[in-house]
Amino acid sequence: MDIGISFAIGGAAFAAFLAAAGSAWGIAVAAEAAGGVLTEDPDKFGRLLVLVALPGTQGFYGFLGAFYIMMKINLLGGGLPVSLSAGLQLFFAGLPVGIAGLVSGYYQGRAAAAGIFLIAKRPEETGKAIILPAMVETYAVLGLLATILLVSGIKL
Amino acid sequence: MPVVPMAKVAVFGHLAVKEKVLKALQRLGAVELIAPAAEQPAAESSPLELELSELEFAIKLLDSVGGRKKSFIESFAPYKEPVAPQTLENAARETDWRGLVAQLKDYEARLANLQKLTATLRSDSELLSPWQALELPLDQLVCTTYCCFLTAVAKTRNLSRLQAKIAAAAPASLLQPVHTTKDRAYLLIVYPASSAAAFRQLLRPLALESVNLPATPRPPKAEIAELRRLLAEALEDQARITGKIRELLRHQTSLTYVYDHLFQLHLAELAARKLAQTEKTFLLTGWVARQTLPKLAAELDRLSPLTALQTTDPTPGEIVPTLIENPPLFYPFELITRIFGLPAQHEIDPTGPLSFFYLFFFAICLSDVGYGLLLALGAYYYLRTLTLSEGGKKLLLLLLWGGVLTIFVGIATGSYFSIDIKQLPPLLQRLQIIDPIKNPLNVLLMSLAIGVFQNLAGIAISFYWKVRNHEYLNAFCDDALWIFFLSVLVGYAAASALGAPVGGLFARLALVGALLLVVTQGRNEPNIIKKAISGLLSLYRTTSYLGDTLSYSRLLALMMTTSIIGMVVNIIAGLTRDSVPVVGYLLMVVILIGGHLFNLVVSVLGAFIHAARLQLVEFFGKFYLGGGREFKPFRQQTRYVIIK
Repeated sequence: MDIGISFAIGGAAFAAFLAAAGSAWGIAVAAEAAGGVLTEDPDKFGRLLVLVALPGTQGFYGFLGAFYIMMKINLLGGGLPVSLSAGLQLFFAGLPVGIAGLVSGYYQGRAAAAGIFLIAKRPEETGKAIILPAMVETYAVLGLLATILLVSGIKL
Repeated sequence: MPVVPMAKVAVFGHLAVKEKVLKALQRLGAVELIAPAAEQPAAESSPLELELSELEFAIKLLDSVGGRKKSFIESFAPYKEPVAPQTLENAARETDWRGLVAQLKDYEARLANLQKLTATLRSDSELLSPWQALELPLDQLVCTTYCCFLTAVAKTRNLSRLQAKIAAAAPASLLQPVHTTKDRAYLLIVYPASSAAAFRQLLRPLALESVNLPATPRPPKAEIAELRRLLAEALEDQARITGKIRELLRHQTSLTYVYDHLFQLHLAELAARKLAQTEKTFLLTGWVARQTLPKLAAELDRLSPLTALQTTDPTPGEIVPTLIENPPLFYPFELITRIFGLPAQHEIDPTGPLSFFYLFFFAICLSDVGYGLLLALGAYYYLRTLTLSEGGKKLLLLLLWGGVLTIFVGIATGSYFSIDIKQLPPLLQRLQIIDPIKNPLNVLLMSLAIGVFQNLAGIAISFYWKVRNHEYLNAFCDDALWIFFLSVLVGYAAASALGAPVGGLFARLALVGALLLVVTQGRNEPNIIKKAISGLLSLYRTTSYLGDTLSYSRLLALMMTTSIIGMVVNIIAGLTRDSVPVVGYLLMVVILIGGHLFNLVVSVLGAFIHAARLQLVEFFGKFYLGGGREFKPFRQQTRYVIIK
């Protein structure tokens, strides 16, 4: 019984930390670019902040996936009995959002950095600069959806 | 008609009224000037440009000593004071701005020099500080008839080895540590002048780094004191000059007025370069919205009888600039259209159709009564209190509408700051239609259904537009057939999912649709084989429609992100209340406010972006190219103020 819940928690942990790591990585890439642009023009801080924050959503998606698994096994309310096979299933169900978040977080950061350079030269095109990195995020969203649907389909 | 029809106009006039006409056109802001096709001589930079850059420099310098401070909100929507044009002109006439700029430039130059000086003084005294124990005036540390001096640095752990080596190789020399730290030893070495070259040769393989100290008539300690005195003086000067600059702060507003006044003149000057002119007359050509044509004619009539206005035809191949104009309800959504690009003159303006979808999607992504209310109130407050640019106003209006609709969607999903619905009044419980956390699958299906609907709507718009432009064949083959085929496929999928008996009928209809597509889609290919191949391949587009539809699943994901993060905030706040004694309640309130505000900001950003993306990629892909060039009339433009 215990080993089942351990795997379930493993799934939640992987979902949360992989995606959060992706976000941290992506935000760092974007923030480095923004720091460079701000040395020239500190007034752009507000606009750039939005772009730096964009790769942050993966962390939330991962957290959400983790929370969904926690709710599934009622971890905060004492924990339901989880069989070994259900635990393994939950473990694998946590991976889509985790891994998609890790990779897309980093790459969204790079796309956001490109958007930041775009704003540096053409501040009037902020809208376009924000939309391009959002294209990358789609796949983190799909990862999250896969995790949610998988988790909601698993029988304990 | 949201895409405003344009006219090409030519205005002739006598040179005597040229300035007057330009000024009037600038104020009217209705004409985009066309530069004559003939080669223009390279424009020289005008004195105004130089003056503008000097003024900008002066204003920035005053900013740096504590001028206008910008709040965080202002970095998104800079505040501009509304000022009458006369005030600007008076400021330019009455302020001695040239004097001010000269003075500020002088101050800045002195500050720069002082900065350089303080940097040198600091590095010099840093260089000298380890040598303080040396009591000789530094200019005496040179080679005399009998002996030479050398100052050098070595690693402390090598010191005894060095001493031994030097003592063995040159017994007449002296190695004296002046100052030792844990890892560096500062050494004074004295050696006989007669064997200077040999001694230096001896030093080379030893790990010694010689140091050049400035040759001053004082010993290091006194020199450092002197440097410190100079530094204090320089800093004092710096503070004094900064103070003087600060005294000029009260002129900053006038300087911004002067800047914007000169900026208008500069714009007029640039516009004048686009005019063609003879000895006595000038000619300007430009684009103007058809609807403002009478106003323009009236204005020119009023101005002087020495002008004439004529509408001409655009030359073939000439790109007509686009101006879109929407009723107040759709107006804020021009923001989304602009992200993609404006429609070309012959295209439909997608702003109206996308506005419904955009608002609806935004509300689904946010889907919380509390957040909707906060957003609407916040947007309303800033709309009332801030003086905004066009874009800022559109954004806030859009957020206002989005917030209002979010309230309704929130009621349907039973989300009130993510509080557990069972703790809410029974009335609100009854109003809940679907709980996305408990039934994600249903919400997913709903999202996909919305996607199917918007995709079909996109194709339908394309159909409508082609019919309007009398392209009946294309409308039928490319749009009507696809609508038929896709709807039948969706019907088939629904029928088989529900086990309805009409599945067979749908399957046969789908086959008919597919056949028709295979027959028609290759119609532009030159021969029958190519026609057949590209007809068959066209069916592959079904997968792209499928992909587009799946993209709407993000609606579910964003909806859940908002409500689950809100839920987590509530849980954490509850835990602190229960587990922290005494201040637990206070902490709970802090966590609730901070957490929900944070979630609000993150969710609004997500909702804004993803709702926009669904329009720009999935919806526009069906009917919109956005190949228009923006209409940029010659008008008043300002940097610091708004001209009333």
